[in-house]
Amino acid sequence: MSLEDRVRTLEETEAVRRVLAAVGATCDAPYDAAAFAALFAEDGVMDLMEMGVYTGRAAIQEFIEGMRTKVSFTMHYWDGYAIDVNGGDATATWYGFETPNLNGTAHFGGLTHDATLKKVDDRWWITSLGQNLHFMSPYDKGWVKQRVTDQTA
Amino acid sequence: MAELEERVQRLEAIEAIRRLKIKYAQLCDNNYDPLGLTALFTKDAVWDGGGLGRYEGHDEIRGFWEVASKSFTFALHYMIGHTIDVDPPFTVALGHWYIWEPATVNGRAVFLAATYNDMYEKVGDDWFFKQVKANLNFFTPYEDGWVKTPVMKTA
Repeated sequence: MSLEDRVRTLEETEAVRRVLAAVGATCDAPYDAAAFAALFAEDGVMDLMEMGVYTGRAAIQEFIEGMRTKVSFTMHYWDGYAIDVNGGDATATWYGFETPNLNGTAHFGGLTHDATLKKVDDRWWITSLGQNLHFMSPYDKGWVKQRVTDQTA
Repeated sequence: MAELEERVQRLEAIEAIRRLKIKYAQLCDNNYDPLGLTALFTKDAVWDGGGLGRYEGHDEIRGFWEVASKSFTFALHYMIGHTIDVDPPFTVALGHWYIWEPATVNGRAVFLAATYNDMYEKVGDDWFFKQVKANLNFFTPYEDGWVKTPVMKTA
């Protein structure tokens, strides 16, 4: 690989990291749905497993708007990014720890995430975003007593 | 050009070492995969967990991981706030990390907080752990917290 290509790979890895960090930040606004959806490609897909699969910016934005009625506060602590860039395509996995006020109750959330991205017009767009929910537990219980609170209830 | 090459090599080494630590975390969280984890270490590596024991070489390190999953039945290793130092000829490096770890130990939810001091060695094209030293800050049952019970017994 040429020196320029190696530098470009490093720069694009950092650019992808910044896009993913922005996703977390829009959630902590809390849940700036328009800004969240704007990070996705037009046909982007968000797969939240038991919480549903949402295709396209409009569907993604609508879902996130719905989260605002349930989550009045949260912080997304995202790190442990493993990002692979190959030209104009990228894949990523990372860890997330969350502290939401879910339906009036403080929770701890432990998740891992994955994403695919594509660079179009000099900008990285999320083409898919997924999560693995390890726990979403009330503060007074913890993940052994109550591993998951239904976030769609 | 030589200086630019050196600057790029440093950034690439940092990124590769970052990926090594993330792989370590992922394997720990996959039921402490003993073969996968051991393969991340040099043959003469040391894993020093303080109260969790000190293990030298592949056989001892693998043995530790084989036992770990029997009591740590769930964990998420959040590796954060790191610094990595590496200089020419880019064959050894040092790293410092914070770890925040919610886990289930012997059926109880716990929070573990520690820092790592790592030493890495490049063998061929790949980086490996030469030494991992975990410095425990607290290891506390969920119900108690770190003021009431800074370090719980696991026996």
